Amino acid sequence: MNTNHRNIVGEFARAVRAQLADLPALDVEELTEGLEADLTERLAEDGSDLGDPAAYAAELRASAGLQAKAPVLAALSLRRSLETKVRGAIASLRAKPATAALLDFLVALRPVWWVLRGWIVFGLLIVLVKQDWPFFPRGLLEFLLWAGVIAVSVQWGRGRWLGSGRAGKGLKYATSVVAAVLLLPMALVAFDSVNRALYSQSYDYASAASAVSDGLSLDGENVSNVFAYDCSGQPLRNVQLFSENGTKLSVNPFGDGYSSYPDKEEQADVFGLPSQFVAGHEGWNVFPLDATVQDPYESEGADLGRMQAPLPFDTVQPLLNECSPEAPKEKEAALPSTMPTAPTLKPEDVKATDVKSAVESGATESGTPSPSPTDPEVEESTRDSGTERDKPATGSSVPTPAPSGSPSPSEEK
Amino acid sequence: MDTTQLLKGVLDVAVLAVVREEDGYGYDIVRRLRAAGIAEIGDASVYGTLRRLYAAGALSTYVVPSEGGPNRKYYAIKAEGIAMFEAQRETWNEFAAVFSTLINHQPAPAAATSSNGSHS
Repeated sequence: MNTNHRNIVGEFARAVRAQLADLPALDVEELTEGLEADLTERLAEDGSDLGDPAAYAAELRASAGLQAKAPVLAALSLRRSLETKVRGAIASLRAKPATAALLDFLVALRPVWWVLRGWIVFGLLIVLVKQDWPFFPRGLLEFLLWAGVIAVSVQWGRGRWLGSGRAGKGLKYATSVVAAVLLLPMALVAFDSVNRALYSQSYDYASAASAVSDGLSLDGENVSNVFAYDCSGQPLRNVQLFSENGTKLSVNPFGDGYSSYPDKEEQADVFGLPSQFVAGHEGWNVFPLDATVQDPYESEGADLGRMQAPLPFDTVQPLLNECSPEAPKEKEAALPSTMPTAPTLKPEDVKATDVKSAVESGATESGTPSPSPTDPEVEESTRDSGTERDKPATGSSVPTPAPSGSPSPSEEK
Repeated sequence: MDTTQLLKGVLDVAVLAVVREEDGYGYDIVRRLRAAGIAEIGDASVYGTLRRLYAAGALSTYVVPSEGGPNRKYYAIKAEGIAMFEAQRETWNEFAAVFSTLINHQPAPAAATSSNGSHS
């Protein structure tokens, strides 16, 4: 009984003191000194209920004339009146259908605010820690932080995970206020960074697309060199290619860059070089392009190390039997009638001596079973001789006109 | 009429009267007030009043250790308290006399006019 009373009294006195917590400690001490003794005596006397500690504390306060002395109490009541005012305003908004719909809309948007609040806190943390503005988590750790902060914010919004009592609510209010204040500047910076990212992305895309569209491309990949094989499957040299409307099929149409491609035999990147038989480095449509392993940007345009580009295939499959080496004459005789329409060689470009040599070479080659470019000896000699033998190669470098040239004089005769 | 409302105005003088008789601790004073016939008085109101009178300089306090329990705070009246009590007693007596006269006066003529009015 006695211990029971003591427990009740202790509990009650503690509750009363808690109700007076906003007062200065000295006032509380003065007000409640001897409180336990009084309560114990009262309980022992009539055993009645002590009542509501809050009402008891309010009575103490009022009779002691302490209301005015408690500024926190005034602030509390101010907040309470503010709350009632807000509630009244909301109630009046609820009364009208239009504003009630707006209110419902805003209430529906509350989860968005919860996520935004978490996101802003995430951004703030990242800014404070990394001095950076990443509004999207980069990396696993940031993603976990991002998800965690948003989860906490949403749970707060649902009235959970707040912790006990006033501290949790205070933290929530403080976070909300900070997030609301930061919402606009954060949003502006975020939009800015997103815009910048989109811009640079589109820029990259544009440059990538233009890189592909420059020169020759196949399935979106740049074509760095072209290798032509005649109908007997032998590689051709110095083939000039044009499109259907007469445009040169140039690997490097603006002559402003060398494209390199990896080569298996050389174990390195090789650079295509424009044909040396076309003036002004414009022979980018004469295939196969010669190649060099030396970086043409570094060698400043000097054709050092010019060589024939390694062939992807030494020979390819011949086309049926009609192109067999035994019967080239009759078939190629028909070619000249079709060839002149194509602007392969301008007549003035071909010097008489060249034609003569071409005729000669064509004449000599006519006896050999295979065409001149594929002749292993000729091939080797041109490769080794370099510039010295390049001159005569001018004439013989055009295998198609050579055979075509040879029959034409004979026809005229 | 609600006596608690009336009590608020005169609690000071009642408490001063009780303490003037004899020093006392909080609940002792409550008990003596109740014994005097003020049944509706709340404990906390008395304690708050004691504290306010002490803060105003009318009372002094001293702590007495009690056997087997918490300390008791005793209140004693000071000279200022006695002066305050005398002044308030005078005010109360005048006030009570005026109100007694007013309330207890039998308004016979007024009743006659009203009955006349109702008859006509």
